[in-house]
Amino acid sequence: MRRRTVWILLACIAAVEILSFFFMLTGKTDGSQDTVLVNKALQSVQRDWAAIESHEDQTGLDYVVLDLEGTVLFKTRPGLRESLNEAVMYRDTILDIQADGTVVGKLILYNDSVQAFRAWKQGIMLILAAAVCVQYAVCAGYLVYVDRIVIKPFHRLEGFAERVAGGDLDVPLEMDRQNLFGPFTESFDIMRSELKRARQAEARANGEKKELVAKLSHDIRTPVASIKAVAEVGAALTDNERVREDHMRIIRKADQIDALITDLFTATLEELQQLPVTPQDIESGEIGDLLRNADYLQRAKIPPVPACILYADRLRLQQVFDNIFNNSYKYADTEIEVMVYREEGCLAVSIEDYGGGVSEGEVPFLKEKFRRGGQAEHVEGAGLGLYISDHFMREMKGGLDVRNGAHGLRVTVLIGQSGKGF
Amino acid sequence: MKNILLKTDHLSKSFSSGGTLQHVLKNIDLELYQGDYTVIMGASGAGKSTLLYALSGMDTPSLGTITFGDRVISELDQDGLAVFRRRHCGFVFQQIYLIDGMSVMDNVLAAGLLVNKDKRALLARARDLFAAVDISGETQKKFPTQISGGEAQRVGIVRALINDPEILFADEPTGALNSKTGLDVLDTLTRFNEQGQSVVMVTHDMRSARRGNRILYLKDGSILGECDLGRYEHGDRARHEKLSAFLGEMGW
Amino acid sequence: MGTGRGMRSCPLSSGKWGGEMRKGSILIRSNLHKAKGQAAAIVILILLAALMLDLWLMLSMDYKKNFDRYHEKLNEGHVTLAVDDDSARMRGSLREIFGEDEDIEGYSMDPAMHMVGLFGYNDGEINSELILLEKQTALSRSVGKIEIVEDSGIESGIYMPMLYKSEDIAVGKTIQVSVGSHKISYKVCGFFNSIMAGSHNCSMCALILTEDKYRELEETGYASRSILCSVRLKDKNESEDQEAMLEETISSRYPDIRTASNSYALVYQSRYISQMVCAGIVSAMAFFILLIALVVIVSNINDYIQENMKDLGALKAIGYTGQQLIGPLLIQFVGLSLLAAVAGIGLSYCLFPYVNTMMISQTGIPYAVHFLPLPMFITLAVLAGTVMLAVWVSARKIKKIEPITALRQGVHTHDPKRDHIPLEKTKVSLHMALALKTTLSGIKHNVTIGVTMLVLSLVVVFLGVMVENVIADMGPFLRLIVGEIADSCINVQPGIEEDFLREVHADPRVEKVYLYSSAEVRHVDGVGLVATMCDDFSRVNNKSVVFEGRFPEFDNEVALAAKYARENDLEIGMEMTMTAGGKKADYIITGFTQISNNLGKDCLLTRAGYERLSEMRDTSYYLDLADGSDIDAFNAQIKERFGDQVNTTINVDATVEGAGAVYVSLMIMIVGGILVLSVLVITFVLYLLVRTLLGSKKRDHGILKALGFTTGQLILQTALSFMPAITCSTIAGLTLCSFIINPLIAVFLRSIGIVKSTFVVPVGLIAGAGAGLIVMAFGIACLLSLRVRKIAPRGLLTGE
Repeated sequence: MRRRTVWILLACIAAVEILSFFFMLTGKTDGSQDTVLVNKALQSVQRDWAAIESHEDQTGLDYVVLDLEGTVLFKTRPGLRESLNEAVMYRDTILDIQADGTVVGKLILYNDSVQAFRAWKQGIMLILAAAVCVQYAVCAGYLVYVDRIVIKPFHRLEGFAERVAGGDLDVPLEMDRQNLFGPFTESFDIMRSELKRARQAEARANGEKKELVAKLSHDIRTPVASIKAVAEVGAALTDNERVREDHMRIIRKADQIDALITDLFTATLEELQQLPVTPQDIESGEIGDLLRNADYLQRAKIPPVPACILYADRLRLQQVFDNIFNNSYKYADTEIEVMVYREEGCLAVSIEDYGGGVSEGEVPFLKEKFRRGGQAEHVEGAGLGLYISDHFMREMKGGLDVRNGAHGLRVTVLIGQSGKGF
Repeated sequence: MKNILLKTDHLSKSFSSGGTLQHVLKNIDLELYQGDYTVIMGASGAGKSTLLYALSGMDTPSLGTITFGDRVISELDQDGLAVFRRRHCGFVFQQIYLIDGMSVMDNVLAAGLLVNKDKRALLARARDLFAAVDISGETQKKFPTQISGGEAQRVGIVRALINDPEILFADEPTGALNSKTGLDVLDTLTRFNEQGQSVVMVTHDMRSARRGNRILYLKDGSILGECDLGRYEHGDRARHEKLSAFLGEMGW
Repeated sequence: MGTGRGMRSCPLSSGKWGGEMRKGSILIRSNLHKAKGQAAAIVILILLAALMLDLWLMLSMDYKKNFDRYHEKLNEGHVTLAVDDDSARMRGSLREIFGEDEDIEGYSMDPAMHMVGLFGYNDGEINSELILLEKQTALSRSVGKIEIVEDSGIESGIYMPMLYKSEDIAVGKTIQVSVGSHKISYKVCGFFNSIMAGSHNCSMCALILTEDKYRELEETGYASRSILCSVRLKDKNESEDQEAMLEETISSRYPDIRTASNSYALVYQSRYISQMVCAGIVSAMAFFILLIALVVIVSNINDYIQENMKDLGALKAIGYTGQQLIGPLLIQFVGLSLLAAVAGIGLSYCLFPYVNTMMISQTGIPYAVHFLPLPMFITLAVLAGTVMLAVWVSARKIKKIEPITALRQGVHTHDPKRDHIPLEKTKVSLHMALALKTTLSGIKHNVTIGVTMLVLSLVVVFLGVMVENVIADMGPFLRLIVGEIADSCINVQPGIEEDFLREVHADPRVEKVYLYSSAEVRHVDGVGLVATMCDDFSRVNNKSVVFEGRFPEFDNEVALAAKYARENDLEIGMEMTMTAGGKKADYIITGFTQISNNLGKDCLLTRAGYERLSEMRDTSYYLDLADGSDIDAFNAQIKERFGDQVNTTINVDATVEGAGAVYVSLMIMIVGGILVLSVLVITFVLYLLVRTLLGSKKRDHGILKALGFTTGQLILQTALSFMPAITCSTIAGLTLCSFIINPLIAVFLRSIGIVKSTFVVPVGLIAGAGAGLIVMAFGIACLLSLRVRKIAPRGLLTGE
């Protein structure tokens, strides 16, 4: 990268030099005169001829005015060539001065091309010198740069090989990426990272193998089931005791295989219950919605719910609330008071109506199967509601508390807060 | 009784992924005390880092409150949190997160100048801290890609401490380092803690956890257990066994 | 890739291979998909570029052809000549002259009336040599036919050239035409189209009168009876030479007869001046937009390479060649560009009718919009070619990617080398310092900004110059286009010159009076030139007419039109021989002039200089009157005092204003359009850059947010990081453009004889606009940086 910069720089300088020489050579070096100025000088002299003493130069040129006898009538400054012969010697320009169509005198224009040439030469020398200096500086700069970027890093590199050979891969190869050895040092890094990657790949392959086994075990069950079915048909159809015995053996072995696979496969799975309760984390804000859903007659004013994360099964919890509100509608048919508060790792939802409650003796049995309270005689029902609700709440690691409150039956649903060691 | 620095009430954090809400932190009630070296442990995915970032105002909780002094920071908006972070919190990340485009010194000053306008005092503090973590003046001029991981993490600590924060939060500070350089970093943290700096560190590495005087074990987004180890002493066998027992109990 | 059998037996691996094979194009598709904004930007920019390019090509290619088509359709002459003598003798000798000339293919000669005159147009006056024709004569000419394009059936009145159709000059309205100094009212009967005499720019302007009105005018004798000759040449390229020769022949035979003439070349150029300027601006905009589109493409590809370094390395590692990776890129961008270009060309045809209406009001020649395949193909070729080049040049890097390096380097986006602004030492504020760090780390962005702002600076300077010189004060613009401007111009017969001068010198209203008169001379080795004489050039108002060298001072000096000098390799200091009235004389060239009136075929002589060749037939004096003087009243008074000895009087002020109003309205439209475009362009470019910058700084911004930087601070930093490049390049651009704007305008106006433009560069206005530009850029950058909001420090979480 840096090398290219230097080359470009040198090329630029060379181009500048060539260009400046080109301009110096092709520029105004032919010594031509400004004819417009000369014309002005001549014309103004002609105009002022009658009173040449009062003539003033307006052109900035150096010239001398002679009459036909060679007498100097006007000169712009001393030191000019004042005779025709001298003028010819130094290549001065000589023009005729005319008045009324006849030649009345001569105008000698001073030729300063020698000085111009000298100035031009100096200019060239100056440019040359400057260019050489710049080039020298660039070269010197580059040498210093090469020393810094190649020689010095090389000295530093010497120790590396030994350490790497000794297996110490932790020592960082502190090299400037800019220098020539950058790629070299980098390849060490690559070596190390490649080793690491190989190890990771191995671990992944092991995992995949396990997964494959699990998958296969599942796949085996289907053929085993077919084998078993065929054997059963065979056992049923045959009259030969020996053959039946063989079939039975196949069936037993198939069952064994199936059991083994089931063991293998469902070792961690719990048996499914008839009413599975699958609690999960839900935000306490949802409780409000559940309560509102349950209270379809809008007997209760649902208070704000303190924010926390609960461990509950949304569907079952809804059923619990439905049950409680329905009971209240059925047995009490009054306004309902709902309170929600946090309590010792739980969120308590306490629902109380104004129906006066049940007799104190009935309270302990309310949650039991097929138990119905005294008021229930005239109302249809199976007496299962609170039993099931209690079961649900226990499945959710919460609880259900039923007791007589100040105004009526008070059912408190305790929902476990997530992560609160229950 | 220790001074309470930070207090959470039913702190919860949920992310929605693929349409379903995932609750990473659940009902965490926690108090952090001044001068403590609190270590949050747990299996990966237990929500350690989420907790750390929520505590430090890097992220807002979904539910619950966080109180710092008498300010409820969980109610601040993003910019308010940014100002809170720059004044009161220092961060050390697992991936270190130095800005590659700035020199080591500038990485530190960029954080410092946000709070401290007195550049001379700031520079002095930066130099002191660099000296404390053994970063030479030459290294201070280097860029993060030019220094080793251990050095970078120590620079990270300096950056975290430049504004003299009330709490230093460290998220697996040794996670990306090898054992030797990791040890240096742990020693550095311990040293600052001994000087009174409150530290909260997340780790799943026993060797790092040992440094703390208070170990919290997080599981499935909740604090499962807590263990008070007392001040760290090098080579304290009993302390180590206590920690091992605690972790065993937690199912580590 | 294994055998066929291997493939069959191993479907998984073949799928994987197939996937790898397609990966190249998938990468690119995802590139465009990710960079939807950029893709849209490219499409829109290319669409605009295609629109303008096609419009420009249609304007510049077919409009001139249209001129030739009409020229042929009306069998127009290549030289038109009006000779103020309707005698049989003159007809005879003209017939003789035309007959002798072998280059002449055919001609027509018809009676007409010829007089200098004027009529009102667009709040000003049109001043020209009027050629008044009788309707039937005009319509039945064999050469130089005139067609009526709108006829109301009004039986008595005037038909005007369709160029002048306007609010005031409309069918049924009455207009006043001054013939010489007599005002006559006519009812407008309709409009006609004449190629060679349909505009004041043609150096003669035809008006057609119904027969009764023609006879009426003939009887008054206000205008001299003359013969209008239209001459068709075998070679139309000779038109200028022929015109000069015919003029010369006639004036040498009949030195006292006034003539007026024009040539195909002159009319061809002059009737399309504004259209050419317009086409020039459209083309400039087209190329600017194309340039920016290319910059966008290049930056997109750079981003693409940077972002996909790893994938590209991987593809290379499995055996892709650089060419295979560049190929899809090429196809993608060129395909996109071609689609956009076709849409742009379609759009250009939707827009063309409006542009056409505008152009017709400038050229005065009807034009029917039709499909032009050539401009379309050129547009497509130019766009596809440049896009391909840009893609290839910027995608070449892919060839150089080494798989291993690429795979490793995906991690670090850039490698800092030096700390440019250590916070430790810097005096600037923290945010400024951080912004500067960003600035210095993204040199490519700075270059893009630099290029954009340079282009926009040029636009700003151009607008500034136009506002200052055309809209706010028309003077400089008019001086450039018209040449000399005074309040009044009075043309008198030579006999009364002294009396006239005595009279006006005595008049207190006159501030300045000087000779400024024109006559035909002929360069011996070249063509005829219009010589403008002045007794003392130091007194003229517009000194910028001579832009190099000086005005002639002595009788053997001449200042020559630069365009003509260049074409004939004449330089200052050289001598040229000129002839007029049968005499020849040598002149030293003292300077170069630019006057657009005669399209670069003119020269300046001192009065004495001209009199070496010929006596002046009539003399025009320009007069500056004191402020507030009524120019028309003054002219009328002079006319009254000298009667027929005064040929014409012209209210120059009014004439010039009339001509200028058209340019002003055109310019206001252009300025408005360009302004809107500039805002769009800068928004666009900044959008792309901000997007890229934020993309590459996502991690840094996340860290900074974690450390406690607020969104506002990061937005400020991002926007500020663009400011050094914007400010520097705007200032540099404005400074540079302020110096090059005049040469640049001169390049555009070269074809009408302007070689050096001397517009005033309004420093204050441009500085203000530049400041506005910078502030606007900052605002836009801030707005665009609002995306920082979306970056959350949470992104730094370790993986939960």
